[in-house]
Amino acid sequence: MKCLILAREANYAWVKNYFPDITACLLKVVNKPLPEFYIDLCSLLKIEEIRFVTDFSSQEIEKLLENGDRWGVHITYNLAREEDTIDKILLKNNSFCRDCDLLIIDDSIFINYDKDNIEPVISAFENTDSFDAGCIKFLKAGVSMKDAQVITPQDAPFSYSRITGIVEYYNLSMDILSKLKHCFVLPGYIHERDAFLGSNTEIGRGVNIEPPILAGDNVRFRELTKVGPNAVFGDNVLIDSQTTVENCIIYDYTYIGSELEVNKMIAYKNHLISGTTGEMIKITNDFLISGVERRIILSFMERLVQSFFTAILIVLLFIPYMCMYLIKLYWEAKYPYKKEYFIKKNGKIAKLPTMSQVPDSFFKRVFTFFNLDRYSLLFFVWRGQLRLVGNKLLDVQPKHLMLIKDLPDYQPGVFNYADTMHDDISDYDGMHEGFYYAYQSFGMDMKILFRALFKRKS
Amino acid sequence: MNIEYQKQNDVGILIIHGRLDAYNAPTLKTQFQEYSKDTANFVFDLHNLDFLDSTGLGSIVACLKAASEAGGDIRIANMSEKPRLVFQITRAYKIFEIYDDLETAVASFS
Repeated sequence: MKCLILAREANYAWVKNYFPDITACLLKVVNKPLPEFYIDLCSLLKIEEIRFVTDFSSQEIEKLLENGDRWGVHITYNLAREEDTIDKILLKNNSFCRDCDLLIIDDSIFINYDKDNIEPVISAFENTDSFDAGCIKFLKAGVSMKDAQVITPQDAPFSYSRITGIVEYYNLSMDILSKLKHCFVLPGYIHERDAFLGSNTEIGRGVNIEPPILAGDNVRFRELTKVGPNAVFGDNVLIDSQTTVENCIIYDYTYIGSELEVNKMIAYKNHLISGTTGEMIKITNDFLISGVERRIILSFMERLVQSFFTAILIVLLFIPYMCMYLIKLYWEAKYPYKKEYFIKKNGKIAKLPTMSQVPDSFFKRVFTFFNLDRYSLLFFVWRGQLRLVGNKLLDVQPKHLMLIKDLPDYQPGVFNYADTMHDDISDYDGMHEGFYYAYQSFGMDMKILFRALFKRKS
Repeated sequence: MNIEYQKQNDVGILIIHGRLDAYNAPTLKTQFQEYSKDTANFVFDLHNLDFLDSTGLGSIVACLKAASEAGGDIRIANMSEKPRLVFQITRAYKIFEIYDDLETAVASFS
C-alpha cells in the first residue's frame, strides 16, 4: 500500500491569520508538525511509499521531512494546481498511484489512532473494499475514484478530526496532551510523570511543574514559576519568574514576562490568542511577552557590509557623476524626476529619483552604462531604506502591490537580479524575484553587483 | 543543452537534456518555433534536465504563451528534483499542468 497526502493551501487559510510565519501545513499539533503524525501512521500501517502533493511551495515540508529515511519510508513530492480535483491529481501522479493499494489523506485532519492497538486497523484495510470517507479515501489497486464506495467517516477504519480553525486546533492539542497522549509517539528527553522535557531544559528554584506538560529544547523556567497542567512549550522559550502558565501552547522563540498568569492561551511571538474564542491580542510591551529575535545580529552585519560597498561605489562614481551633472540637471528640469516606489513588503512607499521618463539618447546611454542613474539611490542605502543588492524596485501600481504581498519577502535594492538577466520576461515578473529570494546569499549578491556594474542590461 | 523531439498522437514531445539557463534559453525558443509549425500541443519531458534557472524557465513560459496563442498547451512530465525546486519558488506550477509520467501527460491531451 502507498499513501498520497494532499495539502491544499485553502484548507489551511486560517493558519496564516494567526501564525503568518509558519508554513501552514507544518503547524505543530502538541509537539509535532501535522505531517509527522501522518508519517507515523504510515509506518505503523507498513506503508513505505508516501507522496506529498501540494498546491503551494512544498520547500519547507521537504526541508523538514526530506526523503523520509528517518521514518524508514520513502517520501516524494509533486505539485498540483489549486483547482485540481482528486481525479486530476490521481492522473497527474499516475506513475505513483497505479498498480497498488492507495490510502489518500485529503485535508487538514488529525487522524485518531492508537499506536499500541494498530492491528485491527491493519486488518480492516486488508478486508475492506475501496471507499471514500471524505477526507480519508482508500483505493484498491486498479480501482478508480468513481468506483469507490462512499461511506461515512465513522465507518472508516479510523476516525479523524478536521482542523478548521484556531479553537478546534487548541481543543485538539489540549485533548491529546491530557487524554490521548498514550496513543501517539511523543518523544522527550526526560519523561517523568507525564512531563516530557526536551534537552537543555533549565528549571529554576521553586518551580512547580504540574503534569501533563510537554517542552521542547532550550526551555527555561525561572524561579517560582508554575507550569501546567496541560502546557506545551516549543523550543527556545523563556518563562520569567513567578509566572503561571496552564492550559497553554507557547510557541518557539517566545518570552513570557514575570508575575503573569497565562491560562487557556496560545502565545506566538508577541501575540496572545485565546484558545476558547480565537481572539488575538498583540502585546506591545516587550517585558510582558515577545518573540526572541534570531536575526538581529546577522542583519546588522549584512547591513554593515552593504554600507561598506555602497561607500566604495559613491567614491568611485563621484567624478563621472560630476562630469555629467549639468546634463542631469537639465533632465531634472525637463522631465518628472521623482517617482513613487514600494520600499517595504507592507506596502510602504517612498519617492525616489528615477530616469525612467527621460527619452533614450546618447547621453542617457552613457549615463546608464556607468550606472550613474543609480548614483542618487546609493544614499538611500545609507539611510536604511534600500539595500545595495536586493529585489527589483517596483513602482506604485496595484499589480506590483499584489506581487509584493505574494513574495515571501521584499527588500528592494539599488541593484537587482532581474536587471542583470538578459531576457524578456515581463508578463511574469515574480519569477526572478522568487528565484532571487530562494538563492539569495552574500556570494550571489556580489555576483549580481558585479554583473550590474560591468554587464548591465542597457 | 540538447533537445530530443518526438511526435506521438499529434502531441510534440520535447525531451530536454542538460542545462537550460540564460545561455541556452534562446535556443529552446528558436527550436520551439520550428516544432510549433508541426503541432500545437506539447509535453516537455524534464527527466534529464540537470539545471534550470529563472531565465530558462522564462523560455518555457514563452513557449507556453506561443502554444496558447496557437490554441494548444504545454504540459510538463517527469520533472526531476532540481527543476521542481525552481517551479516551486517561482510559482510556475500554477500555470503548468505537471504529470509524473510521460505517457499520462501525452494521453491527457486526448
